[in-house]
Amino acid sequence: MIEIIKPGFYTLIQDIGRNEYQEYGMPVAGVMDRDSYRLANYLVENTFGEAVLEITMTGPEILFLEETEIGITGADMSPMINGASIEMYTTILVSKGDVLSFGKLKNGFRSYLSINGGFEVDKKMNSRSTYAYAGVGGFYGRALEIGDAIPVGVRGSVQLKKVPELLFIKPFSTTSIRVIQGPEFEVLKLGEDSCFFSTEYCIENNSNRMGFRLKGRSIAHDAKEMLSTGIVNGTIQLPPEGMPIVLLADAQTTGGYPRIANVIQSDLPLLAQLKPGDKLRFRKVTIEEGAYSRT
Amino acid sequence: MSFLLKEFGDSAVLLTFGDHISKEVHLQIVSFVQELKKLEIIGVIAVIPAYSTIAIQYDFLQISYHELEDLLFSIEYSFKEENHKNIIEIPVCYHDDFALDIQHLMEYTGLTKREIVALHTSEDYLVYMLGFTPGFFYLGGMDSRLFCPRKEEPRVKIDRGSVGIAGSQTGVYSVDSPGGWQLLGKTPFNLFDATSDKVFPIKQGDYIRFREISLEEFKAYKK
Repeated sequence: MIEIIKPGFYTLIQDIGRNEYQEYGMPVAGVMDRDSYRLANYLVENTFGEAVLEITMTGPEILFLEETEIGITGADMSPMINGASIEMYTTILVSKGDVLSFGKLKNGFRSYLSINGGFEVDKKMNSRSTYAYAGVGGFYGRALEIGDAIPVGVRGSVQLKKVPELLFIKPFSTTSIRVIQGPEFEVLKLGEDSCFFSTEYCIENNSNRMGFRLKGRSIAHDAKEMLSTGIVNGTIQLPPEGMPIVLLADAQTTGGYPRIANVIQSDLPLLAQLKPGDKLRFRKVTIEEGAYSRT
Repeated sequence: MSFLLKEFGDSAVLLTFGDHISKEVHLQIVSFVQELKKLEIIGVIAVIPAYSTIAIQYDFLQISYHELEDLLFSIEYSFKEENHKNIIEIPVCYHDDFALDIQHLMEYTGLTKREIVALHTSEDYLVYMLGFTPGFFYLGGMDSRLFCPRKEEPRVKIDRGSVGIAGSQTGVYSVDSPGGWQLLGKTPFNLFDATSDKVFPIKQGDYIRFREISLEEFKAYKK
């Protein structure tokens, strides 16, 4: 069991989400950065699919009510145990009564905290992930609050681990995001395709787990009315005013704007670590390049 | 009868069966999804059918784009309607407490409240697709006399269960959300219950029949 002393800006219980209900209009939810999520679970030898805390922008303060192991990956929010700095990307042994807190956000935007045995809230629709918009899953369907006591699964024996530095998140001044041309790419007016790939976009403040709104040069297009149609994690929509929106973990399952591109799976974790004000550029790849970049 | 297959990122494909709302296209989509599910293809993760398209998500570590493409083109499907229609009755209370936009609807359509309710409950509406929010269905078949544009200023919060009209469509808000539909009633029937055995009681291809209930029946409705 752990207890939340301070919740941080936005701390959610997440796992890999729910895929199978999308045909009923249910978003997938789940972690935004799957790479950091996997590494966090690796550090405490959790089986794939265990729930972690996804911590956004500022970290929580957490009291441990029993001895256990934890792992922290993703954004560096200067984690501390009882006020003393601790390493990320390494298995940390915590004692009963220890307090985990966070300081300054040094890079990235989302941290992942795993615990030996996983956070063991009840599964809703085969997943522990929180979909806060409809109040489903996680801890009472919402972000964590002061005083919440979160149950933890059975502690197994764990060997201390370290993740190689190569796999830490890396900050860039402009992040390059690889995309595959989308089904309605042809709505872009002549010459505007190069505009989409040459523009440096900035992430708007009203971006969240549903999607990132981008600001840059507006793209001219002649889209006709579209019937509502499927969306997946990473789909880039182009609304009438020409500023792209990247749809992410909590996005609705269908939409009516032209889908001009899709972010490849391997680059979704890079996006997840960008914050409002950060810059990115899109680069075109083929599906073969997308799939092989993973293996 | 055929479809167009397009890349949709590195982990989904998009099948397009038409470019407008039609029952024939809809029946092809329902049939295709049924046949696809029977195959239980390893690596297919999710299916998102819509009005005239199906998005199919796959795991490229388990199945390649080309393997999936070949399998999808080998699927035999039909566009014949099944003899059995799955009709789901949804009780709606049209009491003024819930019919927040009834005055506007009456003015716009030139109908009385009784006429509006009678028309709204007279059709069996086809569920063309689900989307927008969990359990929200897009219906077809509303009587054209009820057509009414959505509100110019959307409401910040609409209770789940609220029944409304937007253009040529009618529908039910499945979760609390902002929205601009003209409201004419409310149902106690839950379109989405994460704690229930049957999380989503309505699926694509079902028919919806609205049945009028009184305020007393609304309050007494068993969850």
